Amino acid sequence: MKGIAAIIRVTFLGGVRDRTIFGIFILGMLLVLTIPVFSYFSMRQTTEVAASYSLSVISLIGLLLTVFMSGNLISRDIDRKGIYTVVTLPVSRTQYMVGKFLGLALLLLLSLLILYLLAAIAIFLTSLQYPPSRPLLWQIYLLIVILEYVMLLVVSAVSVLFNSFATSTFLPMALTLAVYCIGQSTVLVKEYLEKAPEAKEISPIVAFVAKASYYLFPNLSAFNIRNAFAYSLPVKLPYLMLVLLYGFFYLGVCMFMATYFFGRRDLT
Amino acid sequence: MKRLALFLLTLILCAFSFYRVDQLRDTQALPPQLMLLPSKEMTRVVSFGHEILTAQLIFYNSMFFVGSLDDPPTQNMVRELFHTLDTATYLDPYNIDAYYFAQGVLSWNPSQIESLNTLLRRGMAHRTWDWYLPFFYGFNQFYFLKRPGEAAAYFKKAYELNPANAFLPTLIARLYYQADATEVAIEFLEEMVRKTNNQNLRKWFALRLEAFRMVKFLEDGIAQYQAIYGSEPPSLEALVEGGILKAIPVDPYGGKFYLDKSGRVQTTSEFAYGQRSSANPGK
Repeated sequence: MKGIAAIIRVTFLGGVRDRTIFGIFILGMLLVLTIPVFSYFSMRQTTEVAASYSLSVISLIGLLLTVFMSGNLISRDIDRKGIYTVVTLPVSRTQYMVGKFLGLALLLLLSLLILYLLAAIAIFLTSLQYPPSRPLLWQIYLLIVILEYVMLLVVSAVSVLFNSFATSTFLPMALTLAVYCIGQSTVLVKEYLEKAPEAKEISPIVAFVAKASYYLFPNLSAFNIRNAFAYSLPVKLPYLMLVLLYGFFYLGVCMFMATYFFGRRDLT
Repeated sequence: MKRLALFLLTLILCAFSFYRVDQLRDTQALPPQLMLLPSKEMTRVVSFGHEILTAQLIFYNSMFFVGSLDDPPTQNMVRELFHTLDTATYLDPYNIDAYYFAQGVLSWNPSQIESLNTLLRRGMAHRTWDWYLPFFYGFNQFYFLKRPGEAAAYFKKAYELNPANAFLPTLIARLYYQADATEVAIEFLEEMVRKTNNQNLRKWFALRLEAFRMVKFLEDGIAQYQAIYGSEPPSLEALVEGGILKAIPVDPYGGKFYLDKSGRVQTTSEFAYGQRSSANPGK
């Protein structure tokens, strides 16, 4: 247990010191500052635009942070030969992997909390000047923070899985981004295949691949309730709890597979 | 020392070259273009979960595009605008900006009214609390499609959603009495000018309002002519000859007012849309 705690600590502090992360973070702050500029051009829904813009921007920055941080989570240790020191320590490879992941999760949580807090202040100030057509529901905002965080944890678990067998930094990053894009759109593609009249002409092989992707890849769009905050729409709480549960299980499956692959990997 | 001189020289050259770039930029500038979008389903897939943001960006693009036009959009542009706004509201059916803008640019173009109404129906199905959408829909039903009964029903819906609208009840009442269409249009435009904070769009609404006030002015003249001479004037010029008006006002869109066969006041510009390019190709 002590070993895991040490690895969490090292990963967290390493991330804080990392300049790439710092750069993305500064970018995030700047983007939050652009909220008034972006929403200014709206004709009738300035606050709604400010809300949806900042939530989308934070989500994208969160994705960048996740991909960059988890992308070189393990490959850096291997590149810099740090892994040899770790291997000699009294921690198992599984502990090392879990520790790395939890350190990353902690780092992500801190970054997201700061970004969401800044955005909340910006949205609140905008809503004072341009009252939205319906009052903002801040409890949904809180729910978005949680859902978005778990969604990004799923993405980083996928990235860790790629990291467990990849030998370069670039490949896991590219693959993770691809999984994110697929995960965001499988529902739409499946819906299209089921409902659109043109879809009948699509070859059954393509349709099968699309359907298989829907079940295989993480269903990330289920975590998206940004419009519920922007337009103060009702949310289905039991459904969202189920989504969170699904996120944790998916994450678990990825971590099990990652530790399995990493345990069998030849590090010499 | 040498290094400093070289640095200063580079700095000066940089500033000078940018100065020239800045000077020449205007002649190189391309007018804003309307985004060429794939089908709305495809656009939704490639927005990767950021539908609201994408919809707002598409809306901004169409707004800046229309705002940059010197002349009102042609039929073709209006058709493309419908596709962009249809995509934007498909991605984010709650986006009031897109509906508001669509009502502003797609109405007044007879061929687009039915498509505009499909957008507004989408809006009404989602923004159930918003009085603007039934208000727009009712106006289109009444003014463009000449269905006063249906219009009154939608105005009533709008009034129920926002009872603070003192002018709606009188409007509904007048609809039931088959009242003067121009007056209702003026009332509608006055509301649009009052509530629009976008500079360009407000300018457009104000221009249209001005044109409609002139139509109303001419219609009042015709009524006066009828009261005095007991018959309809054969042309608008008869109003001047008959001593009722000093002159025929000039259409702010550059067209010419005339009386059509049914005795309605029309203008060759058709209030800017559609006919202008063919009627006035030089401009």
